[in-house]
Amino acid sequence: MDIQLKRGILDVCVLAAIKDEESYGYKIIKDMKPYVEMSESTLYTILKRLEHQRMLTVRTAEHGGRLRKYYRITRAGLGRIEDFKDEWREVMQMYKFVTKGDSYNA
Amino acid sequence: MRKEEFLKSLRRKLWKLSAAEREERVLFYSEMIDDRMEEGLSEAAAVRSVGSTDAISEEVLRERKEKKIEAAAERKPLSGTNILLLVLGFPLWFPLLAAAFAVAVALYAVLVSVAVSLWAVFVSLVASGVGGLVASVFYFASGGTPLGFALLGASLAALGLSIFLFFACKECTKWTLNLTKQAFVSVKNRILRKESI
Repeated sequence: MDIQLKRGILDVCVLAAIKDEESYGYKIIKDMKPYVEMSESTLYTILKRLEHQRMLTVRTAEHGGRLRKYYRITRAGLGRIEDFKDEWREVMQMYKFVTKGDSYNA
Repeated sequence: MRKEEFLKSLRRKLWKLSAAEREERVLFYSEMIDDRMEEGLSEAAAVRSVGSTDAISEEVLRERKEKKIEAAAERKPLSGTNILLLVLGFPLWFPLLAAAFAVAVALYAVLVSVAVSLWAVFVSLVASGVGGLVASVFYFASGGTPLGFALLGASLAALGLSIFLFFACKECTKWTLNLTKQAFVSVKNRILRKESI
C-alpha cells in the first residue's frame, strides 16, 4: 500500500481508538490489535502528528505511582473521522465495482 | 534486559535528537514498558515486546529524513511581507551582493593569472633553453669552449625545468577550468531550482 495512504488511514484509526473516551498509549495499541498491528514507534509519531494538527489533546496524570499521558479527541478529530467515513464509502463502491463478477468474494 | 538498561541504551542511540525530543520519546517507551508490566508481563518480556533500541533509533532517523523532505517540498512562494522587505531593503542588500560578486570575480581573476603566469614562465624557459642551445653551438664553433659548456648546461637545465613546469601548468589549467565549470553549473542549478517552484 502507498505509505502516505496507509499513514493517513492509521491516523484516523488512532483517532477512532480515542473517539468515545480518552485513552493512553498502550491501551490504544491493545484496542487496535484485533484489527491492525501497530508498533510503539508508529503510534508515537502518529500521536505527535495528531497533536500538532490539534486533532487531540494530551494531559499527564498520575497512575499507580507513575505518570501517564492521556489522549483525548477534539472536535476537529471527530470531523476527521467523519471525512474518512465519507471518503471510504466512495472507495467501497469502487471496490464493489472492481470485484463484481469475481468467482469468490474477498 | 532491564528497563533502565533499555532506556539508557535508547537515550544513547537517539543522541541526534534535541534533549527535549529525546526525553519525550524515552518517557513514551518507559510508559509503554510500565503498562505492559502492569498487565502481568515480566520486566524482560515487557522490554522485549517494545522492540529493539536499534530498530527504534533507525525509525526515528528515517522519519526525520522524511520530514525534512516534506518540508523542503512544501516550500511556499514568497509572502507579501517578504517581497516588501526585499524591495525596501534593496539599497542595503544590492550593494553588498554586488561587492561580494566583485570579490568573487577578482579572486577568479587571480586564479586565472596564476595559470597564465605559469605558462609564461614555461614559454620563457623553453625559449631561453632553445636559444641558449643555439648560442652554445656558436660558442663551440668560435672556440669559446668553457663559455659554450656553461651555456649548454644552463640551456639543458632550463629545458629540463620546463618539462616539469609543463606538467604543473597542465594541472593548474585543468583545475582552473574545472572550477569555472563547477561555478557555472551550480549557478545554473540554483536559478533553475528557483524557477521550478
